[in-house]
Amino acid sequence: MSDKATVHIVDDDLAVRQSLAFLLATAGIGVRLYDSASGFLNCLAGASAGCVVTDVRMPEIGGLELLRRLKAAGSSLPVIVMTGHGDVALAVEAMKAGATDFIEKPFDDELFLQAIRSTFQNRSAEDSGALATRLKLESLSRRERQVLDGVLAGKQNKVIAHELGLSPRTVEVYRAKVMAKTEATSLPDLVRAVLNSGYG
Amino acid sequence: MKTSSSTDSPSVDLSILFSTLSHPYVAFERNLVVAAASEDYLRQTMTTRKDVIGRHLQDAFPMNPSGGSETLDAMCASIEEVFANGKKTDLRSRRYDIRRPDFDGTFEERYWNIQNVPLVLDASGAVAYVVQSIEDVTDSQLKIKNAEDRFRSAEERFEATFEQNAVGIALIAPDGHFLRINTHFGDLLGYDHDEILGKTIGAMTHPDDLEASTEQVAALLNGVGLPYTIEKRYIKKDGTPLWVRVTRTLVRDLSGKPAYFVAVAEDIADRKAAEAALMQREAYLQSILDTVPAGMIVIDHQGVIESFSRAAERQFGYAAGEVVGRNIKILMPSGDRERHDDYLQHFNRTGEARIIGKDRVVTGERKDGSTFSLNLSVGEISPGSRRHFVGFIQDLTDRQAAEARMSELQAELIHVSRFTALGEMASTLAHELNQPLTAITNFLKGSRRLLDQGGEAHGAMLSHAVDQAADQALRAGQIIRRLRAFVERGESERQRENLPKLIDEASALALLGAKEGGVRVSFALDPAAQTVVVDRIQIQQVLFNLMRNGIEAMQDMPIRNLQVATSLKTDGMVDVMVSDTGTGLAPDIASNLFRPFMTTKPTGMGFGLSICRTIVEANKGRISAGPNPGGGTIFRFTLPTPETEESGHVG
Repeated sequence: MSDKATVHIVDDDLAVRQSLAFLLATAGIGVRLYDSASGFLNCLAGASAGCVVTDVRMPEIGGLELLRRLKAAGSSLPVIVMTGHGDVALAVEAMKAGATDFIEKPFDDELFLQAIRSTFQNRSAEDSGALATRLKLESLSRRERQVLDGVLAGKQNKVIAHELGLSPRTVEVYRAKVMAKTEATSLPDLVRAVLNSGYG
Repeated sequence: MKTSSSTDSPSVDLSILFSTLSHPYVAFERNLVVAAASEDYLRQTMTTRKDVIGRHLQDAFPMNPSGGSETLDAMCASIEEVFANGKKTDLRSRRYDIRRPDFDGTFEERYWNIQNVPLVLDASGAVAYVVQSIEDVTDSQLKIKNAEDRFRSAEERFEATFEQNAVGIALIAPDGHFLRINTHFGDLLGYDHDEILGKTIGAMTHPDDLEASTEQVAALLNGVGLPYTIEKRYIKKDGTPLWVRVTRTLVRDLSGKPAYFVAVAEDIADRKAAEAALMQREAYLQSILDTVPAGMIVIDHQGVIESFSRAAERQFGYAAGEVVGRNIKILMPSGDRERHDDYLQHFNRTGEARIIGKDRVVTGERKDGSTFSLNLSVGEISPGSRRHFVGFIQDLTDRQAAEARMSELQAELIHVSRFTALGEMASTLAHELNQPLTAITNFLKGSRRLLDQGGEAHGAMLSHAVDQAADQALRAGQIIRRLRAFVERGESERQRENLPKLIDEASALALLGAKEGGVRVSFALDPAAQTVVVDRIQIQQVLFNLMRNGIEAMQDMPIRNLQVATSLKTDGMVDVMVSDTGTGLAPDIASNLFRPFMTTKPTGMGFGLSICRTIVEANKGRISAGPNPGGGTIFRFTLPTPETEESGHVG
């Protein structure tokens, strides 16, 4: 595996770092581990290629801040952000700040590896998908769009329901329709597609 | 002219003799018959010679029916006395009215001096005639009579004044005995006039006032005779005291010796009673002011202290007597002290209040020179035209002590505030749990990949990964145990606690900022629900959570009433209710309300109420929720009491 295929893992949790290293090793992907964002930033000169996987929550410098600093330093490394449960709002923010992808912990190995691999590939294919996504979004009804806005704002179903004067059950139905119309396979997939289309 | 002849009287022609006399003379024979009269006599008595000569004295003059018979009788006796003794007699100022013949028979009031002189004509010395001379003294007599009349009416007026006066008047001898009293004086003391004579004023004076009374008497006796007034108590006949205002004057006789005192007594019982009531009111106010923990100082418009309350004495270390009359400046540290006069003058001149009606924190200086910060509120009082200021002083060192206690309480409840940030805590918790779960997933999925690739070659790597996964599973368990420990704290800390105090403390923190949010808070605490057996901090956490929940639920409501109520139930448990007028609960939520991850709050994670349930049940109580009849929600939980603890009752 070339240097291009190196994954830089930035996470303050030792077990998470080791388990990710193990997982990627089984997939034949090289890793370098950092226990903090500042540790990684110090070694940035030697990490010109590959991608970055970082937790959004870390002491001192969090994932979002790391993203911003990388952009500020002129780095073009793709960054995948890992989030915990209920941090959709943070994830959306991360995507807006330029994250390539985000993934909810704990995650399926295939989903994760696919996200890693896609960062190694040419991104033009996804760009061409933007128009298609935009067309799909335009087919949403007013209610579906309102529910989508709520989801993108990181709100929970019951909050969206309260705000729209609907029952949580109805919001769930709209949300499923949105996923179907946009052909998104997961929430990150939906967020990513919408953000790439320039809708948000 | 008829001449009488008598055997032992020489015959003298008196008529010739009398006709020559130029004064009023008349001569009587022994039998009181008129023998002769001079012209002047006839003229003055308005009679004629024919009317009187040869007639008995009693018949010679017409008599006024309204007066004169006494004088005639006296004249007869007097004449007879002269005949008997040979000595002259006098009658002075006798009334004998004269009939005026030229008028219609009316009489003229006349007074006479009458002198009867014996006329002896021979050597035997026997009285032959009595010659009477008369002098008309009517004019002077009438003057005297008029004066007497005037005197009499003056005396009558005095009597009337004395008797009918609305004040009590007594004439008292220099030795203190009553000489005379008027009716009112008797009425005042309950004595009759006769009862009081023979008694002394000293015996009727209240023992406490004797000294003042004696002083009054002495002052009068030594003085120049000016009236002297004192207020004193008399003792009434029934033994009760009577407040009177007594003005005494001393009357001296012509030689200047004290004759008697005139004492004028006014009943001032009503005034004294009003004064006593006023004094009692003042004492009452004073006792309030003495009890109020705030010091009170009254100053006049120049800053001179007029009143200094007991609390102010404690605060400043001065006794009231030390500062009353001095300028308020002495209670201020240098700086304010120099400027205070200017402040007052500014206000007096412009009426522009800089401090009146406002609370202000200033520094005071105690007698020992130490300073302390105080809260000062100043009011203006204007009794009549004089301007005064009253200042209430609250020693902030006391309040700071109270605030310190409050912050202590807060520190204790900071523990609780972990629950306010429960959403955040739950999120942190989720993140923490996600770490081991992520690691476990990665290790196991990686292991699976190795096995797929032909596991034998990677035996060491595999067993290491599986160990790691197991370690992380244990780590997840530990995290959950930590959560339980945080919530439960064990049963060891349950003890007797005062419920009202517990509620009071929890409310103090939960309601911070609630008033600003327009929330009306009320308490309805059952006096019978006093002691509960609980872990105080835990139950305060529950109350805190429920009250905060209620306040949040009412955020957008027009009516925001939060009530905390307690009641002692028949089974001995205590019921605690927290009710709000918020949005209320949707039915599908109500049934799952106390389960974890159930929330109606935008930022909530649904841990609060599940923890509340855990706590309440750990404290042997039950928690439930229901709709508030007037809209909103009522949360209700029960707590054990010492009685239910003893009987082994469990909720």
